[in-house]
Amino acid sequence: MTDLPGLSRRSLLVSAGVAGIAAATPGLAGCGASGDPAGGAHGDRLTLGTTQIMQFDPYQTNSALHIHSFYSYLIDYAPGGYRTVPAGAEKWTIGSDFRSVTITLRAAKFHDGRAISAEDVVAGVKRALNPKDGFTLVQPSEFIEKATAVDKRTVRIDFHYAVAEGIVLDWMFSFPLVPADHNSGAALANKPAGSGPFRLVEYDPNRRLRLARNADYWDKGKPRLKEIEFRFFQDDQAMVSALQSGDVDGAMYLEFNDVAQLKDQFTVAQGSGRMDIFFMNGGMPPFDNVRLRQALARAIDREKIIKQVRFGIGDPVYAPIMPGSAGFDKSYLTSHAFDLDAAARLLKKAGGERRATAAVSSDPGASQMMQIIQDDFKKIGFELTLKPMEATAFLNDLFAGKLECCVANQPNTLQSPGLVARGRAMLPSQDNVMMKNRVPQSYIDAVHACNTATNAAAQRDAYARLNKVIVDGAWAVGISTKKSLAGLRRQISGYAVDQRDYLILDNLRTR
Amino acid sequence: MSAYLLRRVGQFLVVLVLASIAVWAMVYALPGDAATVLAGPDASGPQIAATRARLGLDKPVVVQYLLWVKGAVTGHLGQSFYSADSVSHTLAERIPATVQLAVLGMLLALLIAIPIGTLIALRPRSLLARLLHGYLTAGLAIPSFWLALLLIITLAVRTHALPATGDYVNFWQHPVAALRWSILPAIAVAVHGSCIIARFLATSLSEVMQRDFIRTVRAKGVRESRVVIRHAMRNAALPTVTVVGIQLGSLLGGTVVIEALFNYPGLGRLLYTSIGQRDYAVVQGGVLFVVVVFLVLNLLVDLLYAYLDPRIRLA
Amino acid sequence: MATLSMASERVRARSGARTFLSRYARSRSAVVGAIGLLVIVVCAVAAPLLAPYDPTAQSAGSLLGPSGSHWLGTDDLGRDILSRAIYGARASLTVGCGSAALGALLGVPLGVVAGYLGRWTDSVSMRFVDLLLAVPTVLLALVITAVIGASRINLIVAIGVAAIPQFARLARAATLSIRDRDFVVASRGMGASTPDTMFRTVLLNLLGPIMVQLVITASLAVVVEAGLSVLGLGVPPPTPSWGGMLQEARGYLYQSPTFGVFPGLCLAITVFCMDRVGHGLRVAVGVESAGATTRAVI
Repeated sequence: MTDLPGLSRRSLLVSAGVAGIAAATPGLAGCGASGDPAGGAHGDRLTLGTTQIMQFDPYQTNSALHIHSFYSYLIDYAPGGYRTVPAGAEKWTIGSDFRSVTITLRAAKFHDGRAISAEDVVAGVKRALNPKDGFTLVQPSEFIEKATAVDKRTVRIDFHYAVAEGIVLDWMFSFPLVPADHNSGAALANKPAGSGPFRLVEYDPNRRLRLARNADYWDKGKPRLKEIEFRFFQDDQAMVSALQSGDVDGAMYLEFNDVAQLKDQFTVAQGSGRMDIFFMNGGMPPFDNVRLRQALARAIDREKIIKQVRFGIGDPVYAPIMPGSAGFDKSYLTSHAFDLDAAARLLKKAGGERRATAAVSSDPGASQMMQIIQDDFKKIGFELTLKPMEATAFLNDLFAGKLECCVANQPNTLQSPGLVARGRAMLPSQDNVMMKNRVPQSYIDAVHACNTATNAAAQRDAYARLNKVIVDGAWAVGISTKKSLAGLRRQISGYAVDQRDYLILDNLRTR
Repeated sequence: MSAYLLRRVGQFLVVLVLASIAVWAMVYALPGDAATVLAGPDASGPQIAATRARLGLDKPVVVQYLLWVKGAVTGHLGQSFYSADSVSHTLAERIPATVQLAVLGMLLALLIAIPIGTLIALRPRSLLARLLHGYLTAGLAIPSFWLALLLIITLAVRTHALPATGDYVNFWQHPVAALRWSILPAIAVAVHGSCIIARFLATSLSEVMQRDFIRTVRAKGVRESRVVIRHAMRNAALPTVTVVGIQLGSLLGGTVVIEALFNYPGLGRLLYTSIGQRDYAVVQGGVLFVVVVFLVLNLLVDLLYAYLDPRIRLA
Repeated sequence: MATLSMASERVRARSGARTFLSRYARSRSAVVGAIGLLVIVVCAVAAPLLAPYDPTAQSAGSLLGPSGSHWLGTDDLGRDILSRAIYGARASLTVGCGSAALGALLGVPLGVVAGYLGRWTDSVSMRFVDLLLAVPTVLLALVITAVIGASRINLIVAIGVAAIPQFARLARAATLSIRDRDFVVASRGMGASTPDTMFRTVLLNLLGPIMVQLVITASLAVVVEAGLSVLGLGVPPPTPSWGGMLQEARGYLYQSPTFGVFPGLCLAITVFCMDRVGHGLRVAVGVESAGATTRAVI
């Protein structure tokens, strides 16, 4: 990014229309003095803008972008697909009966200098199996019976039943290495304890997070940068302005409307992101009527939403299954395409109340998306009243199952379509906030079939069943993928995002 | 005088206690809690419950409040849910930022307002005075956040002259950097204040200039500049001081929208975020600080008023 | 005697009303402000007749520049900006006037009761007023809208509550000044319903200052509503509001300047007109400038 040296300080201050300050502020426009929190890629140091970072427990998140900088996971996936890359695990063997995996850990050290041992993995698995402290790892780990340390660097994990290889790999991809004595929600809330490429230097929860290179990182030659600072922004537009004016070198989690104004001057990188899903609460009227849900599902104009809200970035989805996953069946996009006539016909047959309240989260684009849906629903005679909600209030009511309908995100299903039932509370087999106790048994069976299908034919069959039951159930209607976007100065290269949207910063460098 | 002070301090404490109860009641009325936020959007019911227990949010509201009061009495304002720092520490980091922005904004406002107000009062019919009237009218009408947006677009994003975001740098350590990182938000808050102050000053000054004693002083052959500065200004300062005090009070309370637009790490943004995150102790501590500042400044303005105008009896 | 006094007060008010207009008209800017405000009110009331398009219809292409068919272009969802700006006057005016009225409806009785009863009632209500005054309006509104949700009514409640102190203080001061006047004491002695007398007398005395305060509060409320909308907490979509348009426009200030400039201009003009009307009223009813206690920067 270029500065504009041609513009003199004087003319700028005069153009501010406040001549009075000129006397008081000599040299304001000058380059950052010492103590200046400016960005400006100083060779081995970068400042990145992002939304607030709140905690450091890898068990508690599957979306916090900073977490992979502190922690190594058992394996990584190569960018763009699901080719496995050894990371914390040097090698692994899945038992021939698909009921165990034996993992050999890499000789590496935690940030505190202690060697990573099999016992750390055993403690980590134990935590993942504890429903009170395992957080986002509880459901993905439910197939695991126990972990045993074979020797110092070998650990064997036994399963309750035979599971698909993809499930095991997705689990290894999601399993972080944490020292056994620090592995609890309370210990990791404010301080990371991993073996990743960066270590924590300073954390001010309201302003910034500073990371420094981990000299003992197992991947020699990495990370390339000495220091990375995250600056927190509550406001996307303030962050974009900061990038444009050079206050930061990069901005993470951009909104889609920023791309047009940034793409000529900056590198805009896309991560695989999550999915926007339209949820209808099957536990209460009017959406307890499955035919009504099916009718409205046909009145969601994915193309228009992608074009106007996501500015052409993103792929349509019909259900919470990520394109690129083996379970994604694009024929549903045509058989269940946007069709107001069909929707009107189905709605007529469905009967029931023709009005509902849609909660609108404070997520960027959620309001516009809901307004487009509202507009189309109106055309087929269904009145949607929008109710904007503050972020926390929205989450609270969503998890309490109080929302009639809403648009919310769903995380990447990775390799295994069965992971659709993981994590968020709207799609699990039990404690489902959208369907309460009406979760179709066929859905529960199909998810289980996906997770246990160990050969190609069984997988094909299970995936087809899952697709059909989700589309017919119509409580979670896919809209599109929601890519994660970052804007970076042109001099920066080596930026990457993994399949969960975690930043891979170890290869980041400036030219 | 001392009885008056005593009564004011008494009232002050009553308002403080009322404020603490009101704030607590209000934040607890907010749907959702810090556990919802911390457990994140991918959490399930049991996970949120576990986080709730870890944060002590599973205790009854009254118990939580009394625990906080118990700490507050001994000078411990509690703990943020989001950091290992105490609330006092968090506030101590943000308050200097807000104070610096408020003082800078106020100085800027005075720097603009005093010449304008004086000129309008002394030469009301001149062309310049009319132009300045235009500035006052525009400055009062333009919402500060819109001005902020225009400043960001023109001075930061398009020209790269100044940072688009604000940040706090200690003025005494790095004066240039400090100004650079807070000048745009300071302008955004100063313009409106300058117009209010200038208007007040102009009104009271022109009123004072017509009083008898000014005529007397003039008749004595005192130079006009001296008449204005020594005699008229001193009297006109009276109502203006009130306005300045109230303006400063509101700036010290943090300017939520401006700080949000500039991402300035002040008290207003802290409170805004903390309300969003249901960080009860931080909201409580921050609001109490704002209330204290407001009350103290009100008291000071009254005392200063009495000092500048001895005729006022503090009854 | 009481009736006599009341009657004379009434006569005074009526003759005051006669001179009111001529005094008001003496300030040229106040007349301009009144005309401007009238135009804005007409826009709000007659929006369906004036707006060229349905303000929520997503018919045209998005982010079109100004043209013959869309004078101010279209927004990010392809809605006509001019139509949205015209309809936007409704949100600003209803929230502005509604919250000012609510502030007066709650504040004036509070002030009268406090001033009349005195003692601890007075102390308690004035501490409550201090409290409201000490907490910044935006924070108060932020919390209230988060608790009860953002809607037009809720915004009026949130901003109206924050406006109570000014009205309460005005009413209390006026009540104190007439509490012990002869006719009040007399009517009390005659067993007349004193609160009723108090209210009527106070209101009659306060008509001018309250009107001024109403206008000032309304203009402040317009700004606060827009500020909350900029933070995304304003009138729910798709109902257009100027603050909401400004918030939507923030992402496009570069590509589509008219999108962000026009709503801001509408706000500024409305605030200007209200300010001038307030000024005219102040001159007309002879009230010292009030409103110094308001928080202007949010």
